[in-house]
Order: sequence, then structure tokens, then C-alpha cells
Amino acid sequence: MAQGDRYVYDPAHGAGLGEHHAGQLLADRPAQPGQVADAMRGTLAMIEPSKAQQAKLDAFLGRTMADLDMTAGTQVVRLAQSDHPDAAHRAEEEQATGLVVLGWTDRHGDERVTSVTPEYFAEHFAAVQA
Amino acid sequence: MSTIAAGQLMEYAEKQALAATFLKTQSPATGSTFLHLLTNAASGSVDNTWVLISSATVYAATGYSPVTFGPTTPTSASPSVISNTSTLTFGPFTAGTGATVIWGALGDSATPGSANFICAFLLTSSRTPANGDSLQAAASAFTCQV
Repeated sequence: MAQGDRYVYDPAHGAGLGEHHAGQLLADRPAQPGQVADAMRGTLAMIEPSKAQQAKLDAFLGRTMADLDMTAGTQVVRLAQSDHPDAAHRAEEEQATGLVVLGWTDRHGDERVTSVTPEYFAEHFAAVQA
Repeated sequence: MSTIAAGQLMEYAEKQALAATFLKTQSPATGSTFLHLLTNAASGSVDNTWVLISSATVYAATGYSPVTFGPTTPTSASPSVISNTSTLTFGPFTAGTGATVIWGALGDSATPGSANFICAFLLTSSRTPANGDSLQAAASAFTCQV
């Protein structure tokens, strides 16, 4: 990563990014609607899943919006300023939208890309010293 | 208007695939492709002759950003299919929510105005995220065939 492209989400309010904007806890909001969960369970059932496969699907379908949130302390990369292969694409996106585009890894190990307003970024993200 | 009702290659991609496989032209260099979200209606509102993703109605909540698709290797079967390798998650969305997401749209840029429209995917279940929500799709949820 290029120097100066790394930040940490460090809000004074201490809430997750989504939680703060929702104004409430997100743990009671399932990440997948029932229709999707039923379809995925039905598809997996057709191949007689192993216990491990079943457990993996159950864990995926058991996620809530809180599980997918960006929590305080999350390290992020401002992609447009980094040496990421998509940096030029993200710089163009920032210019087109006026938002700051951040890459990060969520608690499940999934790569994420999230945009925030420049004002929110300036107020709640702190640069990580190299 | 030539509309599509399910996920399929758009005209731009069909032409690229034909030209490449018939050795008429060289395929574009490898690079990232990006999955955008659209709010167009499920039926009669996505035209497969559209060249750019900006021709569609792109989801525009703050927090949203198109994600890198990360395609699998096409399957050894006929029809051969290609899909997303990993879980794809958008958001969390923080403002400007309320629109319903109905389509995924694959492009070769993260900016709709410069993204060639490669493929459109109709979501199994449309979603209307609220502030604070994320939108997650499992690996192989988005599948395309020629």
C-alpha cells in the first residue's frame, strides 16, 4: 500500500458505520431475506451436504446486519490513493460521486468497498502512521 | 427496445465474445470487472443493446460502491457458465436509501458512465435496504452463460 492511504475507523460515538446511520442496533435485522435463505437451503439439500457444508451455510444465513457492519477500529484503505490494481477506477469513481471510497475486510474475511461522505471521512477516520 | 427478463450477456459482450472466439479481434487485456446495482423494474426496463451501465438506473445510496466481481473460471460444460467466486457484500448504506435493488449489472469500470455493460443479473429476491443495512450475495449467486 502507498504511504498515507491507510486509515482506521475511529468514531467518537463508538458505533459501527451502519449502526450509527441507522440510529439503532442492527442485530435484529437478518442479512438474508427468508425467500433467499429458503432457496439456498433447498439447493444445498439436493446434494446431501456434509455437516461442515451445512454448518457453513447456516453460519452464512445466520448473519445479521450487525455482522456486516464496519465496526470501530476497522482498518481501511483509501483505494484511489493506494497501489491497489483498481486505484484508477476508484479515483474516477470518487471524482464522479464526490464520495470517498474505502476498501476494508469485514469480520468474515470478505473484501468490502464502501463509500462515505468527505465530511464523515474527515471527522471519523484517522490516518495510520507508517 | 430489446429487453431482457433474466441475467444474460449484453450486446456489447456478445460482440466481444464472438469477435474473440472467431479470432476476428484480440480480446481486451485482463482486468477487474465491477458489479453495480440497478433499480430498473424486473420486466421490460433493461435493454440488452445498452452499451454503458449509465443507461440504466443505478442505485445511489451513500455507502454504496460497486464491488469487484472476481469471476470463476468458466465451467467445462455446455452451456458453460461463469459466476462470482466469493461472497459479495455492498454497504453498509448510510443515507439516501429507499430505492429497491432489482438487478446486478457487470461493467468494466466502477463508474457507470464509463462502464461497458457486460452482463445483467436479475436478483432472486429484490431488496430495499434501509440506512445501516448491507446487501450480501453468496458465492456463485450471480451466474452468466453465453
